[in-house]
Amino acid sequence: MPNRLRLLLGAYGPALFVILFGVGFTLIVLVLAWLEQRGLSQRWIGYTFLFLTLLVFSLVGLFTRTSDVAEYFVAGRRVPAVYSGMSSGTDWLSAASFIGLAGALYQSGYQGLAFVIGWTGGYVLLALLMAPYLRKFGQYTLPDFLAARYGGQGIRLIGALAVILASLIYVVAQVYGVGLITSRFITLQFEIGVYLGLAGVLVCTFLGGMRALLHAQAAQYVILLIAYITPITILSFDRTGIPAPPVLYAKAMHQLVDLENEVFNRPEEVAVRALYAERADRLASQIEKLPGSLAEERTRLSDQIERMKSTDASVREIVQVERERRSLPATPQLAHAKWRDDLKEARHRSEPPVTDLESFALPEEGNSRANFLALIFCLTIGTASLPHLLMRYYSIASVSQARRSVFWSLFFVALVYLLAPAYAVFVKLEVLQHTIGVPVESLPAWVNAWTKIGLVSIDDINHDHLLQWAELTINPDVIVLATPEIAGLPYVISGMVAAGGLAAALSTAEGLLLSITSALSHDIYFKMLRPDASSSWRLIVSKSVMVGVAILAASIAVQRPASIVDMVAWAFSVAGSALFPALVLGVFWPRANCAGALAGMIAGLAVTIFYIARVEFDSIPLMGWYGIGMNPWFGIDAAAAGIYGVPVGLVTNIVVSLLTKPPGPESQQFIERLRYPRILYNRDASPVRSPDA
Amino acid sequence: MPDLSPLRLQQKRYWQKTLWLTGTLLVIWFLVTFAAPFFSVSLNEWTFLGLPLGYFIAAQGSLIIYIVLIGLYAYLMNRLDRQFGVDEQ
Repeated sequence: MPNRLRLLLGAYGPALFVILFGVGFTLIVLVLAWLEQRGLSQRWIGYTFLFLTLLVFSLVGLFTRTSDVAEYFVAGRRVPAVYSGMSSGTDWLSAASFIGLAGALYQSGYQGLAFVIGWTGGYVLLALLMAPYLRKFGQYTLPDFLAARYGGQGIRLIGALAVILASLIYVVAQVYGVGLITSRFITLQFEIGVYLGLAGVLVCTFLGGMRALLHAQAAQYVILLIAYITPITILSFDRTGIPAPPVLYAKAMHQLVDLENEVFNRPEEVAVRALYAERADRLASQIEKLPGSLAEERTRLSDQIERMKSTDASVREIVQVERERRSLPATPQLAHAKWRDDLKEARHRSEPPVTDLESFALPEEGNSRANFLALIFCLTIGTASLPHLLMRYYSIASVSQARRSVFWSLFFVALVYLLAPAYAVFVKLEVLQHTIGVPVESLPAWVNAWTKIGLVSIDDINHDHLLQWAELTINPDVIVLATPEIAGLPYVISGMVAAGGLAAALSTAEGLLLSITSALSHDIYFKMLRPDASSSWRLIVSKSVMVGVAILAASIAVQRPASIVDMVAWAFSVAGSALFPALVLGVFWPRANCAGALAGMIAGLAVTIFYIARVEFDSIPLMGWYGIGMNPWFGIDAAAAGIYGVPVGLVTNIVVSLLTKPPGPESQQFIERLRYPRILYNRDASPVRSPDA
Repeated sequence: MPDLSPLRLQQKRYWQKTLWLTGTLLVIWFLVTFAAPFFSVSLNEWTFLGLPLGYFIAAQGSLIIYIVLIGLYAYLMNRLDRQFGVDEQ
């Protein structure tokens, strides 16, 4: 009997686990809602959700702990397609998808859809070009594949470095998301929130590796989906009477566009934009006249303060100018960097905003179309080469299951993505209706709450004490998290969304940590430095490496290097330009050889990093580099750096391969093996199934 | 030494069919991913479910097509494997 029970649980276990977990989570939300009515404070609701989320991961980690290498890295390779699809879908749904996507759509309308197309379109490349072949190869890591195909330790090292770099940028973005959520919802300091979140991730992956990841991520998917669907459904039901927002937001969309057309053309909006254009011109001339202009600016402000003191200006106004003087950059180099950023922002604000349905209507239509397509290119290619996602396909039972698993994975991802445009539309409508034209003193409470942690800012440039659209900056990462507050829903919904965001950020961080760890401990340590290490020692090394990497990621994240969506886009460009050509040519072009792959990876990576660094940053104080900023080539943003990196990598790979000796027979045999899910050793006429194959 | 055994030819045919399927699906993928956004301004003249077509394709249509493409690939490839007897048992 117990045997039969175990069999039954084995088959339906995963489904049962997911359903039970969903019911449990809903019950907890309901209980908390009831307690909120009884006067439970917001802070405690926040704590409950946070610790609940962390508790789930720790428990899963504890129950699935393992010290077997194959279990740890690839979950024993016997995971069914639907379950692994759900779990790798959660791996995929990062803070950028959960928090950032709707925000990007809010901020840039049609332009933001590049993320929807890119992040899902990449799955097609993943399914057709990567997943089945990687599964057929069936080892532990991507560098394993590169080394087996091309031969040699050099390619393994470069591959491992590319994996580490891309995953590290990506994990920093996730950790940043964790800090954002905890600092808003349980008013922890940003830094403490970051470390606390990481601790939760570590407990889970530390103990159980890929096996724990699988189960934890299935649970996280449940939290994530409920948290994403609930607020937008309530909001849309409340505003339109239709509780099915994802497909039926057309009416709200038209209402929004009408309102946008009206608001953006108001005379005060036009006047405010003209003020920003003036500010931009002033900054541009200041940057040109550096270093003299910095001293000039200081004297100008000092004079102004003197003048104000002699007339009877209010203390508040004087303090404001003094603060402005104090915040002047200390050196001309810093001033160059700061003013360059300010100039970008002022220029952006001075441009007439685009309504949500307009495609490519920004200043130059051709330019924004080119950026849109370039970003899609980078995101699709990047999706198909992100190591933490590709690694998942090693853990699946068979090639045919791998093909199905990609399908399920995209299916579960799509459930979330289909809702993102609705978020953007409903929230923008609320913001336009309830904040624009309202006196600055009497704005809704959420504006204040988010201003406090620096994610919403109001700059009353025309001093009319009324808010204009161009004066309001909302960091796009706020949109989803603030939706319940903006819509006036109970706080428990906010807490639930925060828990969803946490689940998204943490689940992706887990996958990324595992991929960095395996690159370091498996590829660099075990395969290159100490091939004689015992398997228990390898696990000890990889677990200690994981702690180190987590601390490194957290300490980068607390510097707040850039917004979530930007960092994620860089990770895609890096992964795509380094890994995509080598992987795809490795499967489909037998002539590609080691020299070509090495040269291609290095060239692609170099171009991408060079472009991101110089377009995005003017100075990197850590390296002592100042004034390195350059104008983008053909106006393509740093986010789409891969548009140059990937082709350079691909062409270099092909050219160098053709110029050098063709690869030996081993790699021909290797490719042959990859192509057929099962090799027919039977050299007879027809391919009859042999029972022992 | 060219290997002309029937098994070898069989494997070649399997691989060619795989390439064909992959290529065809990738062409559709390319049209949805790059051509549709490129022409979205003109596509916007039609409407679908109350939204301009160009917007709808980018926001929801492309996603649904991708799911169909991947599903189709998985189904057809797994069938091809069985036909050629190269499936894992």
